[in-house]
Amino acid sequence: MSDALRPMTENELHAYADGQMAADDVSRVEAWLTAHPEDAARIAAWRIQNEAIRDMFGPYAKTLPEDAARLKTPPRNPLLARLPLRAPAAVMLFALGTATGLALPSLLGSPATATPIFEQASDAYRIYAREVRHPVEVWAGEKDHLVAWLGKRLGERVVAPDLTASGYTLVGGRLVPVDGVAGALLMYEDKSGKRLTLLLGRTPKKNETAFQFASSGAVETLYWMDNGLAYAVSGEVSRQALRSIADECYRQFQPA
Amino acid sequence: MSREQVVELIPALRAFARILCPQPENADDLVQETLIKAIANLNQYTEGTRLKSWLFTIMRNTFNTRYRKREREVIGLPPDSTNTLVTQPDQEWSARAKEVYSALMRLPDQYREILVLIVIQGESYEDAAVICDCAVGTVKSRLNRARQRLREELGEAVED
Repeated sequence: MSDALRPMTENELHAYADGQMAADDVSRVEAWLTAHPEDAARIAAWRIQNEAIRDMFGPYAKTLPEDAARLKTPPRNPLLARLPLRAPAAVMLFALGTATGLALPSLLGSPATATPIFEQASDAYRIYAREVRHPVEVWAGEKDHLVAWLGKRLGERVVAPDLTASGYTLVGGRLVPVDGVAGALLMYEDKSGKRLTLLLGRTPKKNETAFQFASSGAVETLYWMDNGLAYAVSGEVSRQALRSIADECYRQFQPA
Repeated sequence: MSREQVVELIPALRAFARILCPQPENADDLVQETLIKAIANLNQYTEGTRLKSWLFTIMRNTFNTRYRKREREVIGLPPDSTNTLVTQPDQEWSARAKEVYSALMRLPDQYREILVLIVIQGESYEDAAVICDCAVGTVKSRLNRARQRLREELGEAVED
């Protein structure tokens, strides 16, 4: 059988339909299609599909006036604010961030750039809540020392809320990285041993947000920001239960 | 690579994001996050390779690590929820386009993604393989199955 008559493989037909075939092979396919109208009809159907898909999504590929500005995420650090955020400057920021131990996302300050607080919270829950012997660095027996130490490291007042009304008691806490700087993780458990974690991290802005939920597998997280700190309560509990616990935390975090 | 080159590719990123994230807000966040990551990792871009494919790779990885769960969560909500509205076809589309959209959204993610990369974005099979972190043969077989499934979903006779 000469090469010209060798049956076309499925892949070759698709490549032809997509215009991804080497020029030399195109005439061979075309000869085949003339002799095999059923294959020609399939290719025609794929091309109609292609057109339909392009017609649908093509309009999304539009240029918007703000596109050029999208690469310029305003830096929040006043020192860095003076630098123009051109691409080389971004590399420099990255290098500077590495040198100073700060993550680039924190410097750029865009919530889209960093691992979001709810993900850091659910990860911390998954890692530490299952620990049997070492769930915390400092146990609840030294609560005063724990909150003083964490508060000093965060540079913000830290309170370990009393959640006994919801059935949870403090296990203790540990220092954890949050957005590349010192954060705090407090752990609670109920009588059955079910645990909750409360992650606290500093935020560049002193803004206040609503309570927001995020799920990651079985772990539910409720997070919010208030007055320079981000808070995230995580646990394998219902959103309703989490909500009432978060309300309790929020109330106790308010300055007296 | 210059900033201008990246800006020129924002429309392509926007279209790809809409396939990955049918919710417009998530798609927009995904575009933004991809741009920021690209700028932060400029030093990892190899001059001479296709910038668009590189950006798509970043977008796809970002989607897989961050957004997939979010999208699922909303898509999985009960039908009476207002959130399901965002996965409905665009009001301005023709009846045919709406059918194709619905059929496309019923395809497994890997099939839809391959169709979009090749058909809309004009990626080569080789670049699509790099973007999707799979073999070229896998790209071809997914494309083949995607087209077959799409025709089935649209109620077209499929004899192969």
